[in-house]
Amino acid sequence: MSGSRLAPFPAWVTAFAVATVVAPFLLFAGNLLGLPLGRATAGGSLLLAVLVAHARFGGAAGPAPERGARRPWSWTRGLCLLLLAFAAATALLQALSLPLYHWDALVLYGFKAKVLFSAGTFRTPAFLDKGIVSPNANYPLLIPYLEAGFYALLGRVDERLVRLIFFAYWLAYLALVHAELRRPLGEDAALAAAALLGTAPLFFRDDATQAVSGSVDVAFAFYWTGAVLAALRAREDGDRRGLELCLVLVLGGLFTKPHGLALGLIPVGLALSRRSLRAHGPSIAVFAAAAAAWVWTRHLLPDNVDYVPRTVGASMLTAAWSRVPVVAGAWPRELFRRDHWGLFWVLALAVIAAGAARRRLTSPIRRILLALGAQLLVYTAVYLAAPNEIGGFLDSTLSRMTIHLSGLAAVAAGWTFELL
Amino acid sequence: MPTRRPSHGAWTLILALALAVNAALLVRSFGAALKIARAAAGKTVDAQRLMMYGGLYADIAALRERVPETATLWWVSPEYPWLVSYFLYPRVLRWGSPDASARPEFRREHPGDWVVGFGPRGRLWAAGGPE
Repeated sequence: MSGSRLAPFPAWVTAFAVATVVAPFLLFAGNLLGLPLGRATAGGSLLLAVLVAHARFGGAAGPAPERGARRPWSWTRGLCLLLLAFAAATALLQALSLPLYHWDALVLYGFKAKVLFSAGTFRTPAFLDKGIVSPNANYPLLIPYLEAGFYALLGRVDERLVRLIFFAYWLAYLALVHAELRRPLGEDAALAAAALLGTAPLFFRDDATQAVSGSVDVAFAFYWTGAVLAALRAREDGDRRGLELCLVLVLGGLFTKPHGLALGLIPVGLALSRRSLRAHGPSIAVFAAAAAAWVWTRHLLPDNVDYVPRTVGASMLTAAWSRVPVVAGAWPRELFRRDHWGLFWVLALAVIAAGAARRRLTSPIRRILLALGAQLLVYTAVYLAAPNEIGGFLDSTLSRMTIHLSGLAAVAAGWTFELL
Repeated sequence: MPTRRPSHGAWTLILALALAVNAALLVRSFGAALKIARAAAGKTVDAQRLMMYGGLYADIAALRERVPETATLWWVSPEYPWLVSYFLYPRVLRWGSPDASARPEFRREHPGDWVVGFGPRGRLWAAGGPE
């Protein structure tokens, strides 16, 4: 596959990705240097983030799609747009009718956002004093900083309007998948694929999987999917912007979810080469310094995360072994749940299987599948090793983990479909 | 020997079916969202929280009325207080003890602070403040 197949992200998606990573990171860096979060720093960091996006990635919008782009109208396109508009209306209705209320949205992220907004910094007893009730104080802070920055710009805590941030992530996620499929498949098929992903029932359930629930899974899926695709582009084209975007998105992932650090090594490994290390050393050093600042800070914050085993011993390995059938059976059950995914995974896996049977999987598709396989292994390892009761742990998290896999699966299936 | 494969037309048909399944489920989600939006319309955030969490939120709201924002509270209860800590913020909620019978002891040791935990039937229990 030539590099030209890998479309640069739409300009607004790139700007959104860079701004939502750089602005919270600047606020975090400001806190490290003693600068509190307030209206001025929130506005300033957002402005600076937009300037960085423009300076480093401006003009990265791709060439026009090759197939079907000039057709002004088709029934397929109209129906898909209608379906997406209906989905967007549902998500907005859910976002604006009630304040944040799902568990993780309040307990894991909302609490931190309230502290950051009110105290102006994470360097406060609510984060640092182990004696104070502060759920998972060392959990990544990207979303809390975004929410707190939003509150600072607004001048008050508004747990209803803040849900629009999550709507924007859902939209950007779909735009990313659509842009990636537009060139090989044409506008209609790309829109249909984006609509199939975007209208998956779990995004609208009264659950933490809901697109606007305030949980971070769609945001993480956006960063992870974008990081792998940008890494492929950097690898194919040797493109500076691809590499830097990949690094920014990896940073976003590791500042959003704890396992973003382990998973981030995959796109970094895909993107980096001796040549890129020599050519883009300063960019890589800035990324490494930012990542190290968070990883070190996280290490200093109190830890009450309850899904990581404290010790590794024979009893843990025996328990993990006994869980293998439970976890291995849970993945397909979740992927084929019609009330969560409709027929999304049936179709995506069938297309990829057909491509594999006909030996049509090109190397970028194989690399995406490799990234997905590694992701699946990391998640499975967490499920096998976690000290929690496995049934409840799977019930409360597995559907959200499959969201993380969905964007890359859609892209891999779309690219394969073109070759069938 | 060439392998048989489904035509693009067949894939398109499956894709259309998959979109139709999603559309049908989306109509149901929209209906549920509309019902909630109607029930929540015109209510204050507190009233909406009450609608969602029921008695627990009523207890927390009552406690917020009694306890000043600068107060320190000790959590003495076997359950985790995650939602309670969210709604009580900026009041400082400190880990006390998972043993509810230690409440009198905590009150003696921390006069002026509040002791809080879950009581019978999951109701929030609290005592304390300046004597």
